[in-house]
Amino acid sequence: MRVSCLQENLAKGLSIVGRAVSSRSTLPILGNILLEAKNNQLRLAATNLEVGINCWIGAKVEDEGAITVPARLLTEFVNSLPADRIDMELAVRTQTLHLRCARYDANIKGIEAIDFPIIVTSGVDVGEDDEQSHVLDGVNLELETDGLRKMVDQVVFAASTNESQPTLNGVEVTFNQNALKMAATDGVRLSVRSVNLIQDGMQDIGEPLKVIVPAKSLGEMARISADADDEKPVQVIISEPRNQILFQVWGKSGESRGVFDRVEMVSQLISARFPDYNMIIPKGFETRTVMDTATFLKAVRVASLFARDSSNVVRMAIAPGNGAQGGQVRLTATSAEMGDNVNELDAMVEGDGLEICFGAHLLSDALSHMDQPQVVLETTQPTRPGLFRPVGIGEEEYIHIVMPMNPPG
Amino acid sequence: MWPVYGHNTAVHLLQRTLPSPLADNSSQRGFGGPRHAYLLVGAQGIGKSTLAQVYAQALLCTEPSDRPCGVCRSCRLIRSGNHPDFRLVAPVDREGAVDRSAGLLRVEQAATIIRDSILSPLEGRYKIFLLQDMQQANESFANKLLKTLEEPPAHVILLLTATERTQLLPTIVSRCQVIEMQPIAPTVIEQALGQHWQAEPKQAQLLARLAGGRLGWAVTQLHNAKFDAERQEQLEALWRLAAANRIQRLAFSEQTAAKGSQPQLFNMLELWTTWWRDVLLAQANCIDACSNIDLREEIARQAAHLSQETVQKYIQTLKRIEGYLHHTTNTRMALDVLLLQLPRIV
Repeated sequence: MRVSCLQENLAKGLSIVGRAVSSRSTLPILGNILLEAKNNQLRLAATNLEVGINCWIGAKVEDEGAITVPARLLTEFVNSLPADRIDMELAVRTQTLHLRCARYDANIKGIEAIDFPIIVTSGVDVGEDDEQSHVLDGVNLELETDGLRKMVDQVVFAASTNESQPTLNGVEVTFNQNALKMAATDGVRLSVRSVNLIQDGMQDIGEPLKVIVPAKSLGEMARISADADDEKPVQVIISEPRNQILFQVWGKSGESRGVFDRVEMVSQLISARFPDYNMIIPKGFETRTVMDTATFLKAVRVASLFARDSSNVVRMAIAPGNGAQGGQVRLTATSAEMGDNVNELDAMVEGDGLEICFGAHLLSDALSHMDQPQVVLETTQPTRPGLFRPVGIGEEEYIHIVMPMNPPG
Repeated sequence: MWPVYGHNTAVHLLQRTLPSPLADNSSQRGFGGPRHAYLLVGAQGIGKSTLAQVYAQALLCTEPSDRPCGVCRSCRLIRSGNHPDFRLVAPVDREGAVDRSAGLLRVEQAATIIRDSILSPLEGRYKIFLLQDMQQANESFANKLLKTLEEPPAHVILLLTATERTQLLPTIVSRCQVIEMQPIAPTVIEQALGQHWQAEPKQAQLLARLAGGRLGWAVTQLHNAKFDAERQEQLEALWRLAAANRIQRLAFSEQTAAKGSQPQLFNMLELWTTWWRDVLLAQANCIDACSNIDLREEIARQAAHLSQETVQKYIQTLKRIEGYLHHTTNTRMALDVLLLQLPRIV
């Protein structure tokens, strides 16, 4: 293998695939990154067996070949190099990769590339000689990069991070013929986001397709797509028999430094049944409160300072207006040792007054992911869940449900 | 042919569970297919992990027949320890480094197993976990694993090894198909040592007889350069003690107890038991069946000096004391009894 590429591009590629390197694996090869020079591209690949990332960067290939080298050493070395051309050469007999950039020289000992786990690809540029079994075959969709990223952001934070609930570590993604829906819950909150897909030439997927994608993988996809070209769609391939999902994004065109050509991320799906969350979505409401999102968020953040010591409880007193005066919401947080705090904000209240308690962190998480200037809270009783929804987008597009807490004392 | 020496019954049993590669009902556990969990029980070094690994290799091998083929990608990855669908879980010490003698299977490892088991296999049709030394599992590890062990996802196969089934929680044993590993015949071990490990014929014969059916033990001792010297030293000590008076015997007991090394102590007891068994065999005119094949003259000499009952009784004492030493007895006192009852050969 003999290949040259730019330091910025290699550093960018390594930072992308580096997220999939497992830090504490029992398989020694998983601590390595695969470098493969082929078709005038350098492929970087890493996997922790749950997520696998392939990243192609532009390179000048003189001799094709492949090697795996320790991820940490390579990444730290490349990051310390000046922004210049890096020449790499593999000594096949010793499986040692020689790197040269400006006046820095290094030899890194590697493990043979054939021992690296197979990461399936979308088959965009698979040659004749490649094994077809490495290409993921399944339902093929194209989604708008920017929209998908926002959607993911608004859902993944609600997924559970507790490893003893593996199902809830995932996001349920439903593909209908013309709609895409994502839902995540950790038992105290639920985030459901759906969008209409109006695209020509979409593959007919027939029955709605439901899969559970690990929240971490989706988050990773969103992070990668931040560097991607928003003009080009994200390609998604879902294979139910193999239980995998693949996302493919394209790098920004028109720039030559610090960019990748293409990234493919493959994630294992969680094979389990997602809880039927439709049961807990309230069907009606007694009180409907419309507030300004930013003001509400600010008030919640202030209240949370005082709520920290008392299990994060913030009490919301919702009072409807009476003709002359508009409705009001009072946020109260009390700490036995630190003191207390009351914040008031104006609101449009429909229905009866109500007092309800929520976890401060749950409120601020939910509000900080809403783009619209106004937010609606629909409640029935102090012991029933509250439903948050941004004002201005479709009725069913984004709902966020938070379970109330018992008032302290 | 599986690359396993001996264990014909166990191999046969496992071989029958290999799914036909032609039937594409992937990871369906139909009749005759692999069970979700096996517990391999047998003495240390008998070949439990070896058999389990070969079974995993056979299950994951991609060749249509005669699995494991030993040459396909899957077989190669297993052997180099890099197969993504095969996980080895061994007891670890506090820092997380593998320590099979004094380590424990810890609860964090169970959490990793549970999490990994939910993800479907990457390259093969199964995801296989080999949990070594289950007798060293701490209780929370075992309990945490119960649910996975009872009803793992369809693609998961758990292979457990343990020295004795009584040392495991009954809830673990009842969730597995138990395979008792029989000691390997000395002739098989002798052949294995000669063919596979290039041992000298004489050494192979001796180790095979001393191994007590444990090929792993024989291989370890083959690579242990000090083995011959240590054995000689310990046997000579035994002979010396048999001729010694009470004061010398008690002094030896004191020294041994003061060293406080349990593994060494049990090694010594094992060696002694083998020795007295040989003497008993000689008395019954079966000297050719003895283990210490290179010391037949000394065995015959001692056999002639003692009565059969004395030797028999002493072997019983040895076993009894060994049993006590596994529990919390006073080591010094147990050894005192052991040495005072040692038959006297003048």
